[in-house]
Amino acid sequence: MTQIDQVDQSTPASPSRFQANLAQRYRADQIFQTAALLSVLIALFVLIMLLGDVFITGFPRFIQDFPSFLLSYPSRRAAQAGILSPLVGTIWLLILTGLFAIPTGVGAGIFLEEFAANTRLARLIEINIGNLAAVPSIIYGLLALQVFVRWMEPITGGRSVLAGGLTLALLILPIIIVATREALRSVPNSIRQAGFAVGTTRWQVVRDHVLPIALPGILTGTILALSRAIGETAPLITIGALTFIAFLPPLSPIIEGLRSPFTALPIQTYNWISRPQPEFQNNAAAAIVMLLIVLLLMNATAIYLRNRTQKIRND
Amino acid sequence: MALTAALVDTDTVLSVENLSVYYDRFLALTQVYLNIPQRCVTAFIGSSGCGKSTLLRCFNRMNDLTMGCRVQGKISYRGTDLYAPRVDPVELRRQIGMVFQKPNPFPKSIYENIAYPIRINGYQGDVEELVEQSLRDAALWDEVKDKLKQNALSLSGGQQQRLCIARALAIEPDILLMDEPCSALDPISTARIEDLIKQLRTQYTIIIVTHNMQQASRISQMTAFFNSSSGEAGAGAGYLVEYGTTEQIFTDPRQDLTRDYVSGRFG
Amino acid sequence: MSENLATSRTASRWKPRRKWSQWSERLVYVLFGAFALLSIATTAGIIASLVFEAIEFFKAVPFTHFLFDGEWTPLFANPQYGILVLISATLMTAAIALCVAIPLGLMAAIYLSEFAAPKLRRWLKPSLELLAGIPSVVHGYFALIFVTPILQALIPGVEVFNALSAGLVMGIAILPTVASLSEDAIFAVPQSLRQGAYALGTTRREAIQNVVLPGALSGIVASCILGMARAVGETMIVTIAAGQNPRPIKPDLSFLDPRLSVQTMTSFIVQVSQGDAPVNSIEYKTIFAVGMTLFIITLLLNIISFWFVNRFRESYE
Repeated sequence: MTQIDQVDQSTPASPSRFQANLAQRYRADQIFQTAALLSVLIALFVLIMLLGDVFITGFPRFIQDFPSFLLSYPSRRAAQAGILSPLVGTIWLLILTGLFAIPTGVGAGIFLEEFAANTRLARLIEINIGNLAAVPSIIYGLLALQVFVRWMEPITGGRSVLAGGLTLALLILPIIIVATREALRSVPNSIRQAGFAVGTTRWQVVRDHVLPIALPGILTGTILALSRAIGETAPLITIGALTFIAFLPPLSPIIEGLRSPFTALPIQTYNWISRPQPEFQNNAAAAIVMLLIVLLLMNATAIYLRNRTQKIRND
Repeated sequence: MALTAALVDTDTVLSVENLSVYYDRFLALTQVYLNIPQRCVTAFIGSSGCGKSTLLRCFNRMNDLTMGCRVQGKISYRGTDLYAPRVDPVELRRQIGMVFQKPNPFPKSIYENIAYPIRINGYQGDVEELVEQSLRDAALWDEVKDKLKQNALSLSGGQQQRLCIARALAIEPDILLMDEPCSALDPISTARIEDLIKQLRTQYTIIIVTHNMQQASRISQMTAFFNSSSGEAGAGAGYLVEYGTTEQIFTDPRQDLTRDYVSGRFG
Repeated sequence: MSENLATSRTASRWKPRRKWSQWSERLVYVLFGAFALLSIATTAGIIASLVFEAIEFFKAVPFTHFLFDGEWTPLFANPQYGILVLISATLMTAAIALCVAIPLGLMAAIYLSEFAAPKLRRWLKPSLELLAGIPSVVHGYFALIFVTPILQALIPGVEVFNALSAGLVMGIAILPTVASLSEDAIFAVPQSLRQGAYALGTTRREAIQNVVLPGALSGIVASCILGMARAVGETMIVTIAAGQNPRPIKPDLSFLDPRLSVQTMTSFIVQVSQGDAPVNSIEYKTIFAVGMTLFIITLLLNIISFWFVNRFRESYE
C-alpha cells in the first residue's frame, strides 16, 4: 500500500482560496482506520471466545478418563457416553466421500480446463457450478433423500453410510472442480507446448507434466473440501443419520458395512446439544473438541502443502 | 507478390501453397506460397505481428491447439498434405520438432527432460545412449554430464535453451522449427546457439523465426521476408513479401519494402 | 496413421504405441467429460426431486393457502401451511446476521486490503478463512450455550431459544465469506486509481471512500448477496439456537420479535427429518415444498448477484 507521509502543514504553498482543513480530515482518517482495525479484532475476538468456550467446557470431559470417551458408545448416562461410533462414522464418511469426490472432481476439472477450455459446454458448467455453490447444503440433503435413500435403496440400503458418503461427495464436488481448475490454470502454458512439441497426446501432456505440477494445489483444495464435508450436519440429518448407534459398521463383508446405519461427530454433537442436561452439553463440547482437532489437522496439512508449493515456485 | 521460383536446387521438404490462417475472424496470414529446401537454414524475418510465428506453427500443427485457429490452403511435407484428416498431429510433431521463444524445460531432471520424449515415442534402442548423443549434438554434454539428476531449471537461460534443442533433437526429427530461440538470451548464449545451428544445418532442415537481421544473415541460406498489410498495431493480415537466398535478400532485394527493412530504414 | 507421413531416415528405430495412446486419449475424454456432466446432473436432480414432491404436495394443499395463510401448523390435527411464517422468520434471522456481517466484514476487508502490512495480511487472511471453516454445529453450540445467556442477562424477555442469538452468531459465521470476497474485490482495484486520488490531495480514507470502494462496488455487493444466500440457507445455527416455534402472522408484528423462538424454513426441514416421516406422507412432501421455496429464494439471490457483477463490473483495461 502506498504510504502518505504526514504532510508538513506549515508549508505556505497552498493558496488562501483553499481551506484544506487537514487536521479534521486526518482525525476522520484516524477514526476510520481504527474502526477497520476494530472490525478485524472483533472477528478474531469472537473466534477466540468460541474456541475458548468450547475448550474450557469440553477439554476436561475429553481428557477426564482418556481415552474412554473416545472408545465408548453413546449412552443414556452422560458420564459413560463416548464418541466411538460417531468418530468411526466420520472416518467412514471421510473415506467414502474422498473416494467418490476426488476422482470425479479432479477428472471433471481436468476435462473442463484441459480438454474443453473455452467451449460452450465449459462455460455452461462453470455457471452451473457457480449456482451450485450457493445452494444450501440442506437442499443437497433433500436431493440425496430422494435419490440415494429412496430410489437407490436396493444398492445403498437406504439410510446408510454409503448414502451419506455419496451425499457429501455431491456437496463438495463443485469445490473440488473449482480447486482443480485453478491449480491447472496456474501451470504455465509453455510446459504444455513443450510436451506437445515432442510428440505427445493431450492426455500424456496432462498426466506427465501438468498434473504433477498442479498436484499440491489440487490436494490443498481437496483437503479443504473434505474438511468442509465432515463438518456438515444438515444434509446428514435429512437423509436420516441416526443419533444413537451402539455398533460399528462391519468391515467384512464390506458391503454390509457400506449399507449399515451410521452416525457422525456433528450429528452426535447436535444430539447432545439438544438435550437439556448440562452433562450432555459438556459431552457436546468434548465431541466438538474432537471434531475441531480433526479439522485442524486437515487444515494444517492443507496450509503446509500450500506453503511448500509456494516455496518451490519461488526457487 | 510472392516469389516462388525454385531458387535452390536441393529437394523441397515443405511446400506451402496459397496458405491463409485465421484466428476466429481475424486474418493473420494470407496467400503464402513457399518452398523450404532440405538441409539448410531458412530464416523468417519481418516486424512483429506479420505472421511469421503463425506460419511456423502451421508446420507442426501447433496451431491446432489454439482455439479458433483455421488454416486454408495446403502445406505438403515430402508430398503428404499436412492437414489431411488421416495425419496424426502427434506423430507429425515427432518428425517436426520445435524450439520456443522462451526456454521451456520440463521442471524435472536434465536427464528426464531428454529421456521423456524418447520413451514416450517408443524408441527401440538404448535410451541412455541417445540422451548422451542428443546432449552432445546440442553442445551441452560437457556442461551437464556430472549433474544429469539435477533439476533442469537450475541451468542458466542459455543452457536451458540448448537443453530444449537437445530435447527436440532427441526424437530424431526431420525438421527443426525455431521460434525466436535467442530472443530471451544474452549475446554470449546467443552466439553459442548460433554456432550450434550452423553445425546442425548439415543434418537437419531448420526453419528459424528471428527479429534479428544480423542473425538471419549469419546463419541462414534462405530468407523469407514478411510484412503485414496495414503495419498499424498489427491489425492487418501478414503476407510474404519476398523469398530468396539470404545473399540475394540482403544484397540485391527485388522489393523496395525488403530493401528498406534489411537496410534498417523500415517504418 | 504415421504411414501417411513421409518416413524420415530414422523412422525404423521408433515404435510409438500411437493406437494405444489414441485409445486412452478417447477414454479419458469420455470418462472425464461424464464427470463434468455430473455437476449438471446434480442441478437437474435437485430441481427434479424438489419439483416432483412439491407437485404432490400441492395436490393436497392449494397453492394460495401455501402462499397466503398466516399460520404454519403442519404437524397439528388441523394443519395449516402458511409458508410466509417460515419465510418471515428466515428473513428476520438473515437480516440480523447481515447487520453483523456486512459492516464488520466490509471494514475488516478494508483493513486487510488497505491498511494491514503485507506480513500481517498474510497472517490475518488465513485466520479469517479458519473462521469460515468452523462447522455450523459449533456455531450453534456457541449461540445456545454462550451467547443466549449473555443476551438474557442484558435484555429482558429473551427466551432460551430466540432469533436474536441465532442471527448474531450466524452473522459471525458468514462474516468471513463477506470479508474474504469483498477483500478480493477491493484488492483488485488497480493501484493507479489510488495514486490518482492521492495525487489530487486526498487522504487515505477519502481515497478509499471515494475511489476504491466505488471501484469495487459490484464485487462488494455480490459478496453481501452471497452472504445473504448463506444466511437464508444456514441450518444448524437456527435449528439449535432459534427453536422450532412457528409464529402466526399477526398485525401486531409479534412474529418479528427477535427475543422469541421462531422456526425457519431450514429448521422445519430438520424437525421433520428427525421425526423419520414416512415416504408419501404429507409431512414428507411438505419438506420438499419448503425446500423448493428455499431453493428458489437462494437461486434468485444468486441471479441478482450475478446480474449485479456483470452490470456494474468495472473493467480496468
